[in-house]
Amino acid sequence: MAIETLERWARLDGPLQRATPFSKILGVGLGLSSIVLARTLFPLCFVPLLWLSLLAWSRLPIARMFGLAGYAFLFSAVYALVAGNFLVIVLKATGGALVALALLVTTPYPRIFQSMQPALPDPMPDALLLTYRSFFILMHRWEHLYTALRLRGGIHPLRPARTASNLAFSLGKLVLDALRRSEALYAAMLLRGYRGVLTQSQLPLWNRWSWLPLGAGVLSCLGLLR
Amino acid sequence: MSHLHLPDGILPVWLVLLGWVMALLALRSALRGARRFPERARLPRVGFVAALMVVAMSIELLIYHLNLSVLAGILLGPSLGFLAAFLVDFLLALLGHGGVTVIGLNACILGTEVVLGWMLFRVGKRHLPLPLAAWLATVLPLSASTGLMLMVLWLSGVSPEAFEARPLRAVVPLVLGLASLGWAFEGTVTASVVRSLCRTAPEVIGVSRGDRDA
Repeated sequence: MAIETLERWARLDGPLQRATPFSKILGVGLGLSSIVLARTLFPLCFVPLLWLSLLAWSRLPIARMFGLAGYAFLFSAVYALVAGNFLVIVLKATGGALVALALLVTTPYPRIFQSMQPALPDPMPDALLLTYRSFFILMHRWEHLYTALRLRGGIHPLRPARTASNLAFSLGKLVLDALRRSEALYAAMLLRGYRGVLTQSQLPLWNRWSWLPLGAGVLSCLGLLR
Repeated sequence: MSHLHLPDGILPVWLVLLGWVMALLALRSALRGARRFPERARLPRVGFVAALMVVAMSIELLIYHLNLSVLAGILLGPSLGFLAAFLVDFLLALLGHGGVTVIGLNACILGTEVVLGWMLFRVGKRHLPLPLAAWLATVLPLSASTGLMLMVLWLSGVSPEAFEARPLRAVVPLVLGLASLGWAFEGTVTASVVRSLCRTAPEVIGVSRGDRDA
């Protein structure tokens, strides 16, 4: 799943997208807690359905949501093979993933980092933002290197040693590139007045759509009582 | 790849909380250690090295994903390296690669590789050729972190007897065998990168130009 797709979904004009990141973090936190603490089947079915309905209301493709939760389903199924209690484990994992999606696909990632600023220690939100930005730069560079390697016959399934050697060499180039870019970025930040903290504006904690994720979170917890 | 691919809601709550407590204590210690370094070495480099680790995780060799954790430890040191490991696990969880609640445990596992790798490389480079030191400093922590992951599974209540069920009895040795190939490959990649850096920018890996030329 391309991050660009997630970012595009986060910018749609749906009710969850309009809610503040802080309220969504709280609501999803309550929803995840109810999934983690659930011992019966009712909350494990009710909570994911509740959040799925919010995702559908927010104009998100539900089939793709299940696709995104498929990763959680797969690994929980593997774990359940050894741990037992297959149905509960798989429902917990898949349900938890669907709840978490309510935050991850409706909020741009930089907004999530910004909202966590009060809760995270000093350089963490800035470090997250820089890492996120650097990821796109390096991924783009790696795709070019890999394509060049393939076009020149450097990747061959029947020649694993040669392929490994070529991949290692290309990664070495990427590492040197990353270090050079980090120095250049730091120089650019200094020129623009960087003094150890990236200035970020305060996001509002609540707005008139905040009731939606918070209400869903509270209902999720009430589902535990059944 | 030393990352618990477990979603939320599976592991016992006490184990998840323990992971978070340990990770946050280690993070606090790492941040204190990081403040000793000049500004220059901090955020942009940490960001790029953490991003490098995430990009490397997209590179697959059969079932094994690279992660370059030991290389991150060599490039950044233990404090900034652990910070990078935490950032990587945080970002992976936000990308849906594992649960949000298991970030703590994952940070402990990946952070162990970073710190152990840094320690082994620091000792090894004094006595061994640099590429060999880097190779050993990669393979040993990766196998140790696999042991840590198995310990997490055991603590979560999975009994060793469960692995003796017929399908798993065949699969587990195969997975471990492929994983050990992956460790060797990652060790080779790290050794190759260290060798390149030794020629072009030895100060980045803590080797002076005089030592390099000796």
